Amino acid sequence: MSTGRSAYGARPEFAIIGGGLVGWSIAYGLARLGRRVVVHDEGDLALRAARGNFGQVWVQDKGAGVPAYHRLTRESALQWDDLARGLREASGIDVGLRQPGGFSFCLDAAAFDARTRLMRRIQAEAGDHGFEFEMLERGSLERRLSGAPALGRKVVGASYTPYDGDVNPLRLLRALYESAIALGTTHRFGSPVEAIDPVVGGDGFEVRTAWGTAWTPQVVLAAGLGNRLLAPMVGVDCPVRPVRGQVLVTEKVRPLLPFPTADIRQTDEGGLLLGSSQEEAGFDDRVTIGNAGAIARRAVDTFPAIGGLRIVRSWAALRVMTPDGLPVYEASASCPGAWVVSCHSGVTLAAVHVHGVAAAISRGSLPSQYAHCSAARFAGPAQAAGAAASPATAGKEANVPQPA
Amino acid sequence: MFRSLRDDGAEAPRPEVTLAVDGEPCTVPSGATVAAALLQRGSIARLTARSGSARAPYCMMGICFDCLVEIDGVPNRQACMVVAEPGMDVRCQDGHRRVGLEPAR
Amino acid sequence: MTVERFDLAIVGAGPAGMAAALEARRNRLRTVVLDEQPTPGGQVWRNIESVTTRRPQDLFVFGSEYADGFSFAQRFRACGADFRPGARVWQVEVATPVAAQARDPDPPGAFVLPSGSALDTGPDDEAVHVERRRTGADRHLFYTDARGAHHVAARHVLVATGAYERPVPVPGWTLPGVLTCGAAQVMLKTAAMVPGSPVVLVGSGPLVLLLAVQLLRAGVKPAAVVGTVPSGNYLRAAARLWPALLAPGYLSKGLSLIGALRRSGVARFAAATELRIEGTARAEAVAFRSGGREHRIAAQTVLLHQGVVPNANLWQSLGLEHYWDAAQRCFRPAVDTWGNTTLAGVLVAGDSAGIGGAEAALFAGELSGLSIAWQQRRIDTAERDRRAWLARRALKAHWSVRPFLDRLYQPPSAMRVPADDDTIVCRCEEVTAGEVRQLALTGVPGPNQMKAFSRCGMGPCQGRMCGLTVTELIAATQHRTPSEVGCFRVRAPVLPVTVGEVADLERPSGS
Repeated sequence: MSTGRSAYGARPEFAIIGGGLVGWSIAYGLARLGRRVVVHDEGDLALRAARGNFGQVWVQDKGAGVPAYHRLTRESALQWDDLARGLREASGIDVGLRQPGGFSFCLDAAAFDARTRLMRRIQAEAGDHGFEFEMLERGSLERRLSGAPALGRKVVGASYTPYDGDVNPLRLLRALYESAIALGTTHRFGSPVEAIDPVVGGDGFEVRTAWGTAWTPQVVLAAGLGNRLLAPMVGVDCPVRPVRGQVLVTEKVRPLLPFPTADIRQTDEGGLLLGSSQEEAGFDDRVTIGNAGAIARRAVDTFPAIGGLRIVRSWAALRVMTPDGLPVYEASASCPGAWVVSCHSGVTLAAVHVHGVAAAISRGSLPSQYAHCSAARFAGPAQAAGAAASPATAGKEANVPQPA
Repeated sequence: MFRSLRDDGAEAPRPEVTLAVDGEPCTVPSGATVAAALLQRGSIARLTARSGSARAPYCMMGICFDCLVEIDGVPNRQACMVVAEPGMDVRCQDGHRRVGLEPAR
Repeated sequence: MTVERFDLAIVGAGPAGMAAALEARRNRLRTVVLDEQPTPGGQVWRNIESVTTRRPQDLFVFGSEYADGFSFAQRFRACGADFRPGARVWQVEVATPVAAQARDPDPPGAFVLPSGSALDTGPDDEAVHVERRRTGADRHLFYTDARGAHHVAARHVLVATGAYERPVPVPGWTLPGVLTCGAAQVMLKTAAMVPGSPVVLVGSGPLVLLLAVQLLRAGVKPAAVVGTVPSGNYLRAAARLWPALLAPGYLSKGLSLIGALRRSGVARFAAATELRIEGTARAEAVAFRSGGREHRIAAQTVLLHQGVVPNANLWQSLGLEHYWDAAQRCFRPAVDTWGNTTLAGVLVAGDSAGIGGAEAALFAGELSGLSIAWQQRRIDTAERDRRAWLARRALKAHWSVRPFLDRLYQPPSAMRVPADDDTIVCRCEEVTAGEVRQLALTGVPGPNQMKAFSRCGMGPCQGRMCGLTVTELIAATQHRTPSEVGCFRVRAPVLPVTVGEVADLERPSGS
């Protein structure tokens, strides 16, 4: 049994700090390449954005103003089929991937216009790469959604892109975990990492926890909000902050929505997920009725039939948000062998984390496609302006969640 | 199956209500819950969605959520938390709830 | 929407809630009492008004302790509290931000996590950590009744949600025809119905004896009463017998029930192990080992009982400090001797704070009512303490039997941690003990990751049926203590509420 107290078995080549979607994606990716990996994880009640994920593989409104991020997201969505197949073979777990394209509903004319401008902008910025989207007015939307519940009166239309999909995020976490374990990854849980000390002379790192210190040649920081404190220990700035999101879960119903939408989707188990708020609430991850009410109202305005369904659970979780909303992929310049990975889209980007990012870390260098995610950007004036002019979220419709 | 404490008929009849369980009439004392009607008939409440196994009232105090039934067309109601009313239409549930596709309003 | 405001909102109209309401009203606090049942009384006095007035001929079945509830319910009805029956509270919100609590200039004082019962601190100990506070109406309660969802605000909230029977995860416990002993009692009290024969009672605890005798009085002779108290429990309990003798009436009542059962000639078995309920479509028989032999008893109805545990979901959803009670095998909130919790303005009294029984709950509720009246400056310290003195003495006397009962009736581990991998642990999501054990072996750190990985505890009961089992299963598998393993993090809504009802609620003012 791996209780987390045992010493490392075979000496690991990589210690990954963080047992969430990002950490286990990189661990699984490295383990697939034959690398020996240990994952350091906290206890049961850590903040764990991975357990609060909405479960979308979501492309459509990502990366306005930063075409490289849009391309990265698209690439991950394209690779998701491979990822799901690999996980099924390695763990026997079907993560329930479907990618029929997704809708984002607009509840008034202004929202529809803003959405149209956003889609056009992303298309223009995509250039030769291309970006297909449709803006569906109410009539054509109703025809497209035949079979789904009737739309509410407020719905004026929706955007649709063919790239979007969803998975079961909890089964994804379990599948990544079991696949990595099956490939020999060690799991040490129960004690947060307190410090990472680069060994003098560039000879690896000492990872300190309450239970002792372990040496590792290379370290990957995937600690979510913990990266804010840990990354500077390896010479990288990672100014992430919590952004609370709440999700309501209804009782299970027969298949109702054969496609994901920006803020309502049906899990393969039958429950509807209604999401999700964006709240600046610090580290308070309690659920509040005020925000739940706003989520419920939007859901009922979209599909009135949802109003009669019972909420059986709700949760609030803290997104890991950078000032500009973009991920962080960084190889520490001052501490070679230390890597910092951070994002708020652990599901959508899981495929590139398992494939591209893990391969780059294994190889020892990040290719240029990740340049826009360098932590170096936080050193410049962009940091101060980040929140106001955040390119990744610019033009996003109010109330629409930052999809995972 | 549960039966009345006064099966010997010696007592005067008390106020009673008659409701329908899976289409069959069922009479219980006034103030009794829908779950009491299920237990009197020996009816199950639902078939589970995952394995299709039968469930019936277990705790009778709103804790276990195993006695979920459809009452007057509304599914997933806790039979043990609903007082039986005359003319109620109670039905066993099979798996997940269906959501009506009726147009809004 | 205007929000109704009260000085005190009490959740639960059982002994603790009613006693607190009486005390609060005596001190002129504007009080609302929300209870999910149609009438006051809680589970112990369930339907007491109707039984007393409309079928008094049945009172003898239940005994005098039940009958005593009527006058209490009458006093409660007349006390001037705003009693709202059929009200299911699904969320309590405390507006104080988490960060602000840490910086609170007027902190509630240092709470000591009690090692045993809250009474271990002793009645004379000045464990009154709660300062008089300028408590604004910033506790918000949301509930649903037949008319829809509602919102009330109160300066203090008292959680008095009582207890429910410990789930008994044994093979076959999900079959139709298997109920709890308490369920059969509810049927007697609310529907005047008795289980069809043959009926077998299985388990341990005062309620098994009481129900067996009540069924006999109602003319139903159980086919068997199968006891599950392991012989080792008697020795452990004997060491706590002396203080138990001081508790008013418990032991003599127990002995008289045992005597009545013995005289009835009902087949009795002791120290049963390897319990399973057999049947395909419904329960057909109970099989077990006792006295070195295998037994199989045909049964149409099987009534299980392994004691009661706090109905904790509501206080758990508030994130209160809590601890594992190793004797009672359950989590309890950290409370001072008045029921004040680690969250200012929120109190827990009665069995929902730890199993002390109905009579103890009456006095605990009274003490909470006194503390709230004092915190809201309706009485001074001298009056509070003068009034508290008798209640504390009575409470201590009632609690003195608990160490004995807790040890005597502590469920054997086989009744808490299923040995058989196929036994269902989570009734809602049909998760088996084997699956939980397997995940615990791979290193799942606790119940919440277990829930994420297995869906255990994600169904409509929200972990009420599997929570304690999951904690103890992980603890046993990983050789950790339940205290280290922890419990499910409970989130509002703790009871189902429709999307439409939540959509129609206004944002709470004041938050």
